[in-house]
Amino acid sequence: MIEIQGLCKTFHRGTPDEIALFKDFSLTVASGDFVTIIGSNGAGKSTLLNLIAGSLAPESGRIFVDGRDVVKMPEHRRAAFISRVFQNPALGTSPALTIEENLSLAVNKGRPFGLGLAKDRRKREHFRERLASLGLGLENKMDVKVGVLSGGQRQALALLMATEVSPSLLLLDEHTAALDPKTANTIMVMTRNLVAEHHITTLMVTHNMKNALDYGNRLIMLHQGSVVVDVRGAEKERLSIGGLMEWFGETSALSDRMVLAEFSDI
Amino acid sequence: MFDIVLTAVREGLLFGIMAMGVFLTFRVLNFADLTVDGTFALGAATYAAVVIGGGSVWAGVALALAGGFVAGAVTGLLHTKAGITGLLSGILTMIALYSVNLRIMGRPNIPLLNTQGILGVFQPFGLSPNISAWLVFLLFPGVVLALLVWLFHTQFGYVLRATGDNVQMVKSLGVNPDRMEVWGLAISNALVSLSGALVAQYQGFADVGMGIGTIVAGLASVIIGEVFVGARSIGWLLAGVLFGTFVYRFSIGLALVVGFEPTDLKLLTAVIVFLALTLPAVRKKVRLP
Ligand SMILES: Nc1ncnc2c1ncn2[C@@H]1O[C@H](COP(=O)(O)OP(=O)(O)OP(=O)(O)O)[C@@H](O)[C@H]1O
Ligand SMILES: [Mg+2]
Repeated sequence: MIEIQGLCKTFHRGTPDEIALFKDFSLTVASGDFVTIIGSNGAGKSTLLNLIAGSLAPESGRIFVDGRDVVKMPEHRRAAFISRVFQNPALGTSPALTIEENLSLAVNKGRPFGLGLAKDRRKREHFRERLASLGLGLENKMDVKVGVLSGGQRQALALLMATEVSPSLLLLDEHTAALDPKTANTIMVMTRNLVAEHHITTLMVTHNMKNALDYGNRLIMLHQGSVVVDVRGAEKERLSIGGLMEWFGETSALSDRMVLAEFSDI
Repeated sequence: MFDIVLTAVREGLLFGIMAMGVFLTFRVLNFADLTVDGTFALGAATYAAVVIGGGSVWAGVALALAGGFVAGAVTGLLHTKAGITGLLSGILTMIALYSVNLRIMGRPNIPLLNTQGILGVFQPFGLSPNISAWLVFLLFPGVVLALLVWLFHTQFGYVLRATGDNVQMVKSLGVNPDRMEVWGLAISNALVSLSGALVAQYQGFADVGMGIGTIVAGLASVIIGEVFVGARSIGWLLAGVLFGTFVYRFSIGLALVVGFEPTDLKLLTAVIVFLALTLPAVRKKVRLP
């Protein structure tokens, strides 16, 4: 369960470029929820994920992940229970290490990395099985340096690594945006399977309206640092791409307040 | 000619320990660490001061290692905690070490000529001074190579390797990348300092200026090694560094024979590094395997 209370974040404070992005932002996400987050460029989607993961610090507010107040925790401590996959496939894996070496790091996530040998026969079999389940043939490339893999292969590996130790929260920021449509689809299906298999609470930012509708059990639209749409369950099932596009048009034409009023009628 | 080769082998082995340290920062951590110019002399100074003061050679070597470790950690902390750029952090520690080294030695130069020192440690086993020295030449780089290969295959070593090319992933693993960097710099400088201690005994003196150009010589060795070994496993790369050091020392020896003055060597080193840096490009162009 994720609880965000009274979150405030301003960029370029005290300069003419000051952007007060989040002003008293609150959001609660139930355990096991798969939330898709949409919104126009600059709405604050990435910033929200960065604040939760700890790569940005808020001016005020509290963020609880499964009851732990994480705001004061450095990013690497939160990483013990918050996993991320980025838009850039290069950020999730180490190019200098092989697939197996990368996975043997991921399997130890959040625990001390000591002086024991990192490779282990039994783990290798486990990795082979997990890689094979992706259906990308990566199980035959375990000794290949990740640096020579394609973006899609690396992203698949990054997703596998992010869920190797099941996290309390999974943050996905446009994690298929850099991939071709077919690979993007493969990664999306893989995401759904992994999230379902491990019952991971997930926040997924996407600009793909079809994905936003097809995946997850709750949809949030952000605009200028506020939640302007929040639908879930059966209500979300009834949404159409046309409807979403209409909302996008309206958010840019109307003030936040009016938009909110209008949406509350739906 | 045979003499030049033999000298290059000896020096390649002793300076090779330093080059492996440079490999750790430059190639693994992706950090151009100028501290080594100071830590090479620190090792020599510490070792010489201990031996001249009547201490055991092993104490001299151990203190040299420890001193280098601390110096490297200081550079790491300047970079990660104080937020100073990597290059400047190294320069600050290096300059500070110049004063520290003079303090340790008490004078700019300590001769070590009338002692076999660490090179003689196997003589009590009935070996000749020459054989004993050769055992030391082989033993130290061999042990360092083996320990580094082992380290790079531990979980810690994997994270160290990841730190150099993806800080974000290291954080994702729940590890503080700053801490990994400090560890890496400390281990690297401990090796450079050890190399300085052994070289001091080998040349028969410790001098406060003997570290000048260490980083450049180290880079030359690392890059030349890569030209010969190519992209292979970490064990091969480290062995390549030792071989690269040999090739580098050999070129220096050759230069002296053909009539260059010892004072020309820094210029020559810079030229060699230039060639070595451009050589991989040449290699790619001519599509050698
Ligand atoms: N590190 C930063 N420093 C300064 N301003 C920032 C920073 N990060 C984000 N911003 C600003 O905050 C606003 C929201 O940016 P954010 O990246 O969260 O948007 P987004 O919703 O992810 O957009 P996109 O769909 O383009 O990814 C933008 O105006 C951006 O300029
Ligand atoms: Mg974004």
